[in-house]
Amino acid sequence: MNKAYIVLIFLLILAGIGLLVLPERDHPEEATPRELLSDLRNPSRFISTDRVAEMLIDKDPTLVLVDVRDMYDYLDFSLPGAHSIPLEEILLYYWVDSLSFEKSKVVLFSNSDIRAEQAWMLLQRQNHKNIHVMKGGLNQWFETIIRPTAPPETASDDEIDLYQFRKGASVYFTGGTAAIEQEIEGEAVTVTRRKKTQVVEGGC
Amino acid sequence: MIDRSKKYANPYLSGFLLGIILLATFYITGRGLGASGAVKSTVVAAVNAVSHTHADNSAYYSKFISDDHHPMSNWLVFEVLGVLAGAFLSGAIAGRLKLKVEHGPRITYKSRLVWAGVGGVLFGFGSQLGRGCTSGAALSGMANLSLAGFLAMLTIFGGGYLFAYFFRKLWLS
Amino acid sequence: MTGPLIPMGVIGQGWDLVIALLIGIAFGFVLESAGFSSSRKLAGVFYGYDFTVLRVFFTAAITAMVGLLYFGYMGWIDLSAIYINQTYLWAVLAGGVIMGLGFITGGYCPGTSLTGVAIGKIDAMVFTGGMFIGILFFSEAFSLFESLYYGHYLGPVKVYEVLGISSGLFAMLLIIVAIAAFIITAWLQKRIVKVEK
Repeated sequence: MNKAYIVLIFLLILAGIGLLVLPERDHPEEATPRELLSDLRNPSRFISTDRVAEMLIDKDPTLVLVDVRDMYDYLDFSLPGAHSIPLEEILLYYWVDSLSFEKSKVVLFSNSDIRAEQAWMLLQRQNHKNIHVMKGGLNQWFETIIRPTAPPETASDDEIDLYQFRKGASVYFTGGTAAIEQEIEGEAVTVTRRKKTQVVEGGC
Repeated sequence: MIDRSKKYANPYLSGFLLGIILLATFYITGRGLGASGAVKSTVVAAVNAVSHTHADNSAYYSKFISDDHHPMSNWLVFEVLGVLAGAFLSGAIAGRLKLKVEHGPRITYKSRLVWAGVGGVLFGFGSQLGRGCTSGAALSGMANLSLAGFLAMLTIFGGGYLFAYFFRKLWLS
Repeated sequence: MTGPLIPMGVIGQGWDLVIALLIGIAFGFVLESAGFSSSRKLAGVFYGYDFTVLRVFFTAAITAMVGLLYFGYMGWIDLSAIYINQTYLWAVLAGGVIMGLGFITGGYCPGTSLTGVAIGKIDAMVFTGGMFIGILFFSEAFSLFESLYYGHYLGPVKVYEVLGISSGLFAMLLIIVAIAAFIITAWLQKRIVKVEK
């Protein structure tokens, strides 16, 4: 009996030494408030609705869209390919690790920025990298992509191109029906503008 | 006579098996074991059945009542049902099934029953205050290295030792 | 397949109660076969004539603790996802002492009293009945104890954090304490039983 106990005691001590010596693989360090503040002030987490639209149209595989609104809003309408992970559950499962991969861009969105920002903050605290927020959320999505407002006549080429892009995106995402009216309007405006620029050039 | 029944398992082996069971419980459910919680659920269910409004209004009972499910439909209650079954099985195998009042040689069985009741009341009360008993607060609490677990263990056993002298007649020969 | 399995979604929630039952059966079996259905055996730890409680308890706590730490190191379980007991300082201290008194007078604790009930110990049944009353009393008179119950909340703090050491060091120290306790109490029990006889 005694020998068996001595062996067991030895094994127990060995186990203890093992724990003492092995590097502690605690849960990854949480970001400090200072780090969070500096990240907060850095606007690089924002990704524009245009960029998201672009990535969706290009079928960019690094894009991971996450809708942080509640499930009912998600079922009503959401962005194509978006995952539904409500804010309340954002810390629950280890979805970030399972959805994201090297070079992936996880983009959080909600109706406006608020909930997406809150979710971002919570995830940032856990030191996840590459989490973005779609600036303006779905409200902005509607204003820029689905129903883009035509830029004023004095707009720069860039703005015109952007508008063109948005119009195209609108067609892509809504299947063309809603966009038709706008197309006609848009074309009319464009034509006018071009004439004007030509006139200016001619003046030289 | 102290029961030195050879039919009892080696305590270190039992402890090891218990540790494995506890480890498995944490691994599967993310929580430890418990016992007093199930008795508490029974109390909550009973009070709720007798007077739902009283239970709802109470600052304490209301914490454990939810619209979704019956207060007794929870993990601990099922675990405890299992404990009863498992203990019965073990007792049956070892031939220990017997209706009796176990008591120390210096007291009567009636005395024992009174003190058992007193002990139960105290333990029931203490387990609510301490948010657990030896299985839930102390044992599981030590396994997950929580401060509360160690404090519970130290105070429960410390308390026992503190008062042991005064109750020696209950146990010693 | 990282644990804890049910919170991580590896096993469905529906299995929860079935697993509870199975674990309970194992728990009850081990407790009873260790002798915990006997109040005299349990009380023995306080008088030195039977240290079974200490042996089983300490061994179980260390086995599970060391197991959890190794599982965590191997990545088999996410230690930050398991439940850590909340520390409400005055409540746990007061509750613990009261439970200690209950232990020495009743000779049982809730888990063991159930094993006693299962094999027919009437004193265990009375103990369990007493628990019902004790809980009832606490709940009804809750407003009296509310401030004690919620007082001095420290959060789910870990014991080694409070001591300012690593979990590994704490585990090692506890193992050493346990081994010392086993050796000393074995010696003590022999002496006390000699005296008792």
